[in-house]
Amino acid sequence: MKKTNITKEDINLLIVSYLTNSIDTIDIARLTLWIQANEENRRYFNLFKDAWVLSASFTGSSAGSTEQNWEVFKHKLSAPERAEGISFKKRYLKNFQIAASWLVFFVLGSVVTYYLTRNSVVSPANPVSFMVPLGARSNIILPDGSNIWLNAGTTLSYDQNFGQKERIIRLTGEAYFDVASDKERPFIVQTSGIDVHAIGTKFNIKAYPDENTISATLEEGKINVSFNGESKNSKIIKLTSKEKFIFFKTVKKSEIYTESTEENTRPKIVQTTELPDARILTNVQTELYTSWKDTRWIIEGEPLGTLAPLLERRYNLQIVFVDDELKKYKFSGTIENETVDQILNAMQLTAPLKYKITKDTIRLNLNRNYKDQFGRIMNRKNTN
Amino acid sequence: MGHDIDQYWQKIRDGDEKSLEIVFKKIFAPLCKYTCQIIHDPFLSQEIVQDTLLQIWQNRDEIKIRNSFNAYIFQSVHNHALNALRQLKTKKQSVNHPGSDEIWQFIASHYNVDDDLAEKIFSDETELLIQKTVEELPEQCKRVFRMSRFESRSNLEIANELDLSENTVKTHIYRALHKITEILKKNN
Repeated sequence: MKKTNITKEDINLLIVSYLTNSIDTIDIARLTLWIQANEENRRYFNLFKDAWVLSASFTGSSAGSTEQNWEVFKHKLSAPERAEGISFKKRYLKNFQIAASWLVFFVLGSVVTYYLTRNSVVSPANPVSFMVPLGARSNIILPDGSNIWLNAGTTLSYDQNFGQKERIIRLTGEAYFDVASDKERPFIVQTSGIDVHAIGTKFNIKAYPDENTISATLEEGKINVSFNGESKNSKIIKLTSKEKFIFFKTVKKSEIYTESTEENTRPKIVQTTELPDARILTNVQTELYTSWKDTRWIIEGEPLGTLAPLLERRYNLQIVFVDDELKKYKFSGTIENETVDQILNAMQLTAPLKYKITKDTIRLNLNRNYKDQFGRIMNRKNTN
Repeated sequence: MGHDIDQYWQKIRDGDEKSLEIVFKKIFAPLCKYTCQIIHDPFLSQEIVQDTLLQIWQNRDEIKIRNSFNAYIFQSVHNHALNALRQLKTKKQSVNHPGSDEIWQFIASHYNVDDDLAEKIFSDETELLIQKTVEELPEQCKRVFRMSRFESRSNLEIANELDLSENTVKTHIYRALHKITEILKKNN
């Protein structure tokens, strides 16, 4: 056939084309066929490849010298061995580009362990995991190219065979997924109550162990949600864009009621009878659930009771309600680079609130002097 | 040359930063050079090499080296580089490679590391031999090869500048490489 017609000269030019990056797809195929034809061809190709590699000069003029690189490297040696992504992010915030590429390579680093185990090394088959401490956020890129934002207090892990057949991720906490499209290998996020199946889409999952709900908010595309663990529900729920799914770990009637009425103000609730432990909301304003990943954080009509845990995580501190009554006051706004102090200060203007910050704790008191006045305003608002 | 590096493994395992420094300074540039062959980005190459070495350092307790330390480092960097390439491809960022999956698959399946290459890439002797070979090339051939190898110019750029056809440029590069392969064969 055709490959027998290839002359030695053709091959030499193909090899050079490949090495100099000027080969096209068809020629790659021709070269591949030729190399695979026999061991001698393979060796011939390898010899040229080696000659090419060995004759390169790496002056690194555009980057740093070995000496400079050692100085940089030395600093990394003392960095904590876990959650590297985070420490790097912090350290390199000034030079964001560097930070970004480092994060990428830390992910890659984890992947490499897989290759190493496959080749010449024996190391325990630990899953790859990322932990984001409270008060921090992080962005990682998975080996398949999926982009993931991790919120404070989140742990994400995957096994080293990630992406071989399926792309399985385990999540505790909150993450926003921008999944790289790959129909062959479904992307599955496992939480303590539900599994979310995606192919290529953007969605947010919130599954903190200290909260009674697990929710999945779909920004774009399609996802399937299935129940796992103790829930006896075998239903698979299909979500389309702008839908939010909420799963209740333990079903308390009152809670479902309050949750749904709160959400009821804007989105429409569908399907309630068949799923005793879950709710689906359609037509949700997804930015409200995903904006935590951006520096701009949008809050709309959020009661302080549910806002407090978000603030706790974002700023890594504890909020104590001296008066539980405060929990029902709702807030709207956009947080960008504000400190907690600034946020609480602004809140003071719109609610009968007094606060005191001591070290890592914020105590919230009801400002009784202003309560009546605010009550009147609130009532007026509600009747509008 | 390899045993130079191998002798430090035990000390590195024991957590000796001084030995790590010696090895780092010895192999950093050649490893960057190699990585750059795959991903065509000197800056990222440095990141990758640093990252690989950092990982080896952090996992030193768990790493079991069957052959040589030298080859182990090399294989790790190689894997890192291929992963980086794949990552760049999935992210559709510009790599100076033609952006097709076929090329990626090609590199992945044919760009294997052999111990020989690992040995040679750290060897000053090989470098000198190659330099000498390049020096002895016919003038035009030398010029083309240098522009291609040391100035990272594309075949087209070289062709335009020297007023040659692209095929002639490739032929010159082939001749230069052919000379180098002879040196490598002899040296084995």
